[in-house]
Amino acid sequence: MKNLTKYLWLAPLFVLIQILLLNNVQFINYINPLVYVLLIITLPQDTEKWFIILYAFLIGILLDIFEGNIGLNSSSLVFIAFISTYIHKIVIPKNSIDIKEKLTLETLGLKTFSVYAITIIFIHHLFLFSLENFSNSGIFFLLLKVFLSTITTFIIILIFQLFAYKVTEK
Amino acid sequence: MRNLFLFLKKYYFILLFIIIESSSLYLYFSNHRYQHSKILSFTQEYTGAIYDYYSNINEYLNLKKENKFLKKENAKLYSMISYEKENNKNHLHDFIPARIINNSVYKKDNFIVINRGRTDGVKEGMGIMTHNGIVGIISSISENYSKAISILNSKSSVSIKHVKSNQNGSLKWTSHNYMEGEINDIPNHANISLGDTIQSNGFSSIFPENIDIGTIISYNKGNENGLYNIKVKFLCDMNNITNVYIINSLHKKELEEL
Repeated sequence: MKNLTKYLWLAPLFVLIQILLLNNVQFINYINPLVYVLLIITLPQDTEKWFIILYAFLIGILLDIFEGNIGLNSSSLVFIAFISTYIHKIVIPKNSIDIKEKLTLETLGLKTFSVYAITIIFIHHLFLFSLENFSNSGIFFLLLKVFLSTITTFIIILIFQLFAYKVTEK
Repeated sequence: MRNLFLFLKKYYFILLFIIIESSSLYLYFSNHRYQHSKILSFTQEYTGAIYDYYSNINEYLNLKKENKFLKKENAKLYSMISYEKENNKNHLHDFIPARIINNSVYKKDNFIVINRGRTDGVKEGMGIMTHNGIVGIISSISENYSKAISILNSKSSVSIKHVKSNQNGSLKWTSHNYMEGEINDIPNHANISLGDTIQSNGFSSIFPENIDIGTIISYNKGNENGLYNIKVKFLCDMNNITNVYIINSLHKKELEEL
């Protein structure tokens, strides 16, 4: 439970990083990194399921209020919160880590973490960008945006993780 | 009854997911309805304050450029004032200066937040412009801030005219490129060439007449309907604007009552 209170105050921090920094450094039309997905990714496996869903909804609705599009971020985050509990079972080898442990680069190792994180980031970006461009045609544009943004988000998340790793090491 | 509880206990996760997911999706697709504007006008005061604080810091980085730009604009406005005095024109519009505190150009529906609200006399439906183009229309207001539908929004439509032929049409934004708009309702027989100017036509009484909006960069004759398909390059770079003017159209009420 101590861990979860930490997650609660991390939520507004990541929302602020997203709206004030990352939404402004979109390099080209195709790349829009969404780093707050990290919060859902790293939740320990034994987290109460209702907490994951409500937590995702909280982050989503905060982002929606700032971006002025109620429902867009919250629905995509709630969706991956739901999916992530099933992806744990598929991607993470049984008994490889303690279920109370956070799912980070440090605990999972680079290979498993990459597969796990990229799967979730990809599903999230695909869901969000298709919802956003719902009636707009241009499947090519959509897929390119999803791919490039997934890669960028993943790289930024890796940097975040390496940074956090070093801090805890000291 | 016991079975019901067992059922709820077993499937509460999926039920919770379905309830929250469907309510978010409902809110998303019921865009611009009552609940939507209610939620946003309630929170706008707080989000606006955060954006305002941040843009205050950010502004220092652009002071020099902004200063140059404002000087240029001042010069243009002086010449406009003298022109109006000479021609003894009726006073049609008031302008409220404002600053953009949040803006986006890469989404499908882009919005703008500005630092003027109800206390400054802003009302819903007023237009926003810069010296070289149209920026958006105010959609919701709170005490000190207001949100506008950007011209870069799939729902926006601005009534315009092609200056040379005097044909009227409406400018929409459908592409992913924030420098390009589209006009699809000018008939084939009009004489159009590349580089022609597009101006606002003042029909809607939101924007004044004869503001330059953009130039034509490509056009082709639509085959079935006898209408041109025209691409327009905006004059103002929507990604790079800070100071704008809110237009208070003094004759709007009179025009609407006709």
